[in-house]
Amino acid sequence: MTNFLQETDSQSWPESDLHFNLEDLTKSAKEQANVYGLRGESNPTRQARDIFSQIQNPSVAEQLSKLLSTIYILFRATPREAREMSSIPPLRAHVDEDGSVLLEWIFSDFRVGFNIEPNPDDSGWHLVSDKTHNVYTASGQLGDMNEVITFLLNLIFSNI
Amino acid sequence: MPIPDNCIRGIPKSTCLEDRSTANLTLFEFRHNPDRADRWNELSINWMDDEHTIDFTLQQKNDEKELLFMVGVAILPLFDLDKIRKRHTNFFHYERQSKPNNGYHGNLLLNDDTSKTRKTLIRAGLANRSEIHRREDIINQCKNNPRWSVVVRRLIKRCRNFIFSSRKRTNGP
Repeated sequence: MTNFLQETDSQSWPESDLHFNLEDLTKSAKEQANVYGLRGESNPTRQARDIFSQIQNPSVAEQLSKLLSTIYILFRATPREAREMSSIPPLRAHVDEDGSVLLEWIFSDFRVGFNIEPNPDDSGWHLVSDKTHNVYTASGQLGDMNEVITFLLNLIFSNI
Repeated sequence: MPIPDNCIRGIPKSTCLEDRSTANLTLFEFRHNPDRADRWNELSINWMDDEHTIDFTLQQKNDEKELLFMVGVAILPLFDLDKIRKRHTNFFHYERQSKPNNGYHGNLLLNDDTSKTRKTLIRAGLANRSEIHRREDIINQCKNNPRWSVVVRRLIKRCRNFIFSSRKRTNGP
């Protein structure tokens, strides 16, 4: 199981409309997911790749390349129906003033993001849900990308 | 002076928004202020003390007399700032810091010792809780209703409703 910092108001995993709970993290997409039609991204990392020309730090570029490849591979590995029936927005990338890269997946009720720093130990991921649901935040180090991305994709497909 | 229910972050560039109603993290960039003796980094805001704050913010100009916040404003409820502050005690804070030319001015504060990931998490929380109002939309509303104060009161009411429903959700069963 991925190690991360979880924070909620209730000190327990929300039990409202959102399905963020530990059991779901090991499951693939839920059948009850809303039907959005075939408008999900076939490659949600495509737009984020445009940012490479703005990156100065080789370590940041290397980590970003690895992260985007991992996301793409694991995204393609999810069941096709889940990908097609969900609405995965493009992953947005920004170069921050300090040279780090911020990646964000913004969904209607929550956002998942990554910060890629020159020192890989500082790089991490975060999840913030709010607005229409119970407040829920979680974050952790990027460390094992396969484990982190699998965790996040399961969570995303369970909640969109 | 007491802290009001909302604060405003001006939106300088359209790249700070993902779409018409969604801010991204670049809107919340905390900066080191060399004049500060403590370890807090600043993000300028205006406290929404009265119905003129939005108008004032939209009219703010830099030294070259250019509008600072061309795109519009993001409104952040104090209720949500307090939630973030509670969750990130010692790392996130806010303050009122009136200036000679801006009595509304204040700062959101991020401790220098905050880890990069926590910093991003706090910025994402701020972005997620922002209610975006584009300049053009506000101007259009004002065209339809020449009384600026009525438009602003409506915005404030919307924020209050948002806070109320948010509280209900948090405290609900």
